[in-house]
Amino acid sequence: MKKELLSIENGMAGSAGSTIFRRLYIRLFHSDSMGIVFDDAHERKRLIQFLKGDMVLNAGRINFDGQNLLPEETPKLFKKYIGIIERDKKLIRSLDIEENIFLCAADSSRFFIGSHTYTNAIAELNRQLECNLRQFPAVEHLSQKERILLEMVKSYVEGRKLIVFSNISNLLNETELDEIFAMTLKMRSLGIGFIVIETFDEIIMKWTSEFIIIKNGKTMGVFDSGTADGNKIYSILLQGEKEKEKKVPHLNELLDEEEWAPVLEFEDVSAGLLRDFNLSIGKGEVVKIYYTDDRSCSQIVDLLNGGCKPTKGTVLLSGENYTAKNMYQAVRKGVCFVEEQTEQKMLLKNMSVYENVSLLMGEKVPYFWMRPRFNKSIREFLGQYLGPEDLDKKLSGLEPVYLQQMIYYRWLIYHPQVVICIKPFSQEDIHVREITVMMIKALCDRGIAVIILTAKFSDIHRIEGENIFLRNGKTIDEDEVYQFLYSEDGSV
Amino acid sequence: MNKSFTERMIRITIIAMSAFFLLALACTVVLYRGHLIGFINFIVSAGVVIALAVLSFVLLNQQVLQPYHKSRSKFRQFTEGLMYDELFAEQYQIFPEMQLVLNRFHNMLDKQSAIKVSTKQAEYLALQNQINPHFLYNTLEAIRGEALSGGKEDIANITQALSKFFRYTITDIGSLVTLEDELENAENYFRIQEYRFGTKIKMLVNLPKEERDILQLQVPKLTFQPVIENAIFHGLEGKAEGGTVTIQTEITADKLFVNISDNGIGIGEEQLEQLNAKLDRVSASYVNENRGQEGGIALKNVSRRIKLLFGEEYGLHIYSLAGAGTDVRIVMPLIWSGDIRV
Repeated sequence: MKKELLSIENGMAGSAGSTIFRRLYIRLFHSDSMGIVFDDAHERKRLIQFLKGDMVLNAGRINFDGQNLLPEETPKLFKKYIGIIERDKKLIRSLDIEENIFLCAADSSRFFIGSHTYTNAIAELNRQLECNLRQFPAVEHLSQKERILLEMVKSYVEGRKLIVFSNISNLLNETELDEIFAMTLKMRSLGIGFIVIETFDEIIMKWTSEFIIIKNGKTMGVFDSGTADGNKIYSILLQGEKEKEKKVPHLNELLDEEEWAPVLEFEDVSAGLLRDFNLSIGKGEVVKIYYTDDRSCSQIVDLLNGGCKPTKGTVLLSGENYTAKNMYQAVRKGVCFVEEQTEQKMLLKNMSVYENVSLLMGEKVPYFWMRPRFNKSIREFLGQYLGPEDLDKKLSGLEPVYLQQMIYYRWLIYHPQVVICIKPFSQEDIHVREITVMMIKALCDRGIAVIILTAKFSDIHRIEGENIFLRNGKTIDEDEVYQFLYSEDGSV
Repeated sequence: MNKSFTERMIRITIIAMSAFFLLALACTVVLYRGHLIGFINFIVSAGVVIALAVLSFVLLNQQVLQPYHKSRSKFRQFTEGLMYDELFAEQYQIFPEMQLVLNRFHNMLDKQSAIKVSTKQAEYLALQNQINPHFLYNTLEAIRGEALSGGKEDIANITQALSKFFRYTITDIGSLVTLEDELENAENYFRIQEYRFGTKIKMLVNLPKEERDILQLQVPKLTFQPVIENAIFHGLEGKAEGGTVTIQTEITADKLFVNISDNGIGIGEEQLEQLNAKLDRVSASYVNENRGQEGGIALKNVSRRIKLLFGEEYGLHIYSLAGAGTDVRIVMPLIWSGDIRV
């Protein structure tokens, strides 16, 4: 017999005349795991706010662990019993691992705490969760996987009944995800329920027993993760994307008969962890680099943005030796970056759409902002795709898809030689991911070389192009990747 | 007991008047003194008055405006049929008599008559078929006998299924039956449809293995068949390759969850919204006897019967993504055979 953990029926929420949720239905049992896929990142944020206890529903029947709640009663209970694991770290750097775990535990009544105080408790936790908490380094040296594992343990110790994962698949590689999954199975056997909020991905199908789709503020579909046809559902969710594709420019700058020449080359480059790395990319081409460790990725990025220099080998840009002191110089030389979490890192909220997109044109065209002719032609170009009426709008209130497009338009009009996209498909919104694919193709059509850096194996199939696989700084072949992904022991 | 709306208004008016009285007093003092001390006095007095005004506003918001908006929202949801019992459970105090009126009104509502209204349609449908049940059963038995003697086993089987289905459908519409009987009727109905659709459609029943007695649970009669009928005619019939109807059940300490899903063509977003809006409404005034005018009447009737029998927290909800199938989730209270809980 199952036991209901969280039940929301006919949940409604909204403010100032706008509706966020209209018919929100969620039902989760103890020891169960449920996936939630959102059509819109804004709704995803609001649901997480609600589960964090930072927002209340206006109406709806809510039951948590057998207790019927009025909407205004949820924050207190949710803050106490629901743990959210996301990109933001919740561990305190100045405390030990043990102190972090037991700091807010219900039975932690001691005034002076320290690692020695919890020797027995840690041993008991190790036994219950079949892990070794003593093996973790200090908090500041924790990897993302270790941090997530510890936050899970902390949630368990604090007596939380529900753990929510929010878009963690972009923080971890496949092997690390397997280790987290193994821990969820152990915790599920101890009665904890899990909600996995992700983009439509294999982790939803693998980790959960069923998943729901929330679209336009309503719970539209409930699917059995074991039997649902993921590809079919994904294609249904993306209906209408073809219309958007028409609004993405196809500039076809390349001439077919033009002789191929490399734009960016790495010739036996070694730097830090990176060993004898080779890469050659031509105009309008895509190279996708899949890495199994973050250091391999950061080393390549550092080589291009001036963070480090090669200890061996050379980096060539259009046949000439390439060095950059900093990101600014890299951009001026024609090597640009699209960072992860573009919205937060690359857009300025107090500037208009047009100002954000044309931000760097001043570097390319002297006195750009004082030359109406240039401004007018760029406005006309952008107006065709972003809408002339939207160009002077401030960023607040614009959809995530639109914001993502803006970043790529910035480089499309700046026209660098190479664009490095770091985890470009890590956005939570499936429409954002789809528009990203379209915009990368638009960059290629304009003759810009694109290098995609991703830690997610499935992402390399999103777009055509050459694949490079990196593990611990060394290039490996695809078979070795499969061996790495599927042969290693995923236990903690 | 909560303070009445009028009482709150009076208190707040008194506070506001006191504040203005203090302000006037302070101004008078300042005018008569006309010195630096007087000026400081004025500033202090004005500060006190502003603080009182802010306090008055906070009180007004907390004690009057917020409860007012909350109450209004609940009344609105009641008129839209989204809420029933919660309206009467709320303590309203615009004036004390209002709560008494609401309580009396709630007691006056005869729930049983609402249930009767809801079953009226089902009885009416039954009567339509009840021209002469014995004549119908005897004829069907005769056809079955002829088919068996003629070696037509498939005709004999379908006739038997039809006979069982009619017998089950026509009798005792309002009663509760065991989950076993309801599932058997669903299987009979499906067998009849299989005769028409052949192997194009399939039905799977998944019951929790660890719950041995689950089949003895009580459910309202004719709850599953209308849902399966909808799954076949609105979900699978329009799909060239056919599909599967799956019935799954799950129980908790006090609830029975039945999930009837199909992998058919699904329902469009707008139509789904309308259907769910109707399923959520519990008022007897929504009883619609015009069968055949639009799809989903049977589902609405099933939902209404469940809500009226067991309470508005139970009923049906439909989930669907056009092209990916439909899930009808039914929530009912857990009633074992012999329990008298309705």
